Amino acid sequence: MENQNPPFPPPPPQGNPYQQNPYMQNPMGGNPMGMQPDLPNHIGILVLGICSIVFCMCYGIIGLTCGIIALVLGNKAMKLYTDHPGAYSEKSYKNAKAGRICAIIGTCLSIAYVVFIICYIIFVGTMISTLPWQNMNSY
Amino acid sequence: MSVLNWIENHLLACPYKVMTGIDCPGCGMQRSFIALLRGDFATSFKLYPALLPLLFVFIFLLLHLKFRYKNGAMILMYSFITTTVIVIVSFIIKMSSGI
Repeated sequence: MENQNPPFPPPPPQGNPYQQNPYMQNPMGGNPMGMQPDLPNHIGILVLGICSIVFCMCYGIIGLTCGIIALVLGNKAMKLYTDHPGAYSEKSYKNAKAGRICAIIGTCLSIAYVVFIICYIIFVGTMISTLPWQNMNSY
Repeated sequence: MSVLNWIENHLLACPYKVMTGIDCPGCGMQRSFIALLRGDFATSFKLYPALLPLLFVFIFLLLHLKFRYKNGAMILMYSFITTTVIVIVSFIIKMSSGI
């Protein structure tokens, strides 16, 4: 899974990263020198997560797509970060986390609106199809 | 001004509004944006109150990607949530005032 994205930095070697990096100050945080690699796709997660609300409304399909892609990528990135704690930079982790939360909100809104529209169409369709059209002609 | 007029005559129609005849939570955004480009803040706010926060979130996102602020992600997240709340509240007000 990790080797499918050549442009992004590969995951750091297994083992204890704390001993290899003398600048590491706490086990979960980044170092002040910014030498750790970023999580893959953290910018994409953030951008797509925020785009999911902008397009969520009018064009429910686009918003839903953006939101779901951001959600999937975000979950992957979070899993990578929890599997290798301290191996990726704290900033990219924050970006991915914020993007994931934005994506959750945007996707929920999109789904809610799409469900609302479908209910509306079903309601109107039922009303039209159950009206007594034949009887109306006789008056 | 002629560019603005051209844009105003070539707005994208909301497919939901065409299909069902009721406004969606994003309806009014383009009209509001044109009012903003004309410098008419009051009309812009009336048409779509969430436009300014939305633009703020977008511009801050670009700035954050460029300069990588320390707490940028958190600020983005909270302003995003605020924007979402404004969108939902204004949509509810619009729907209830239309009925």
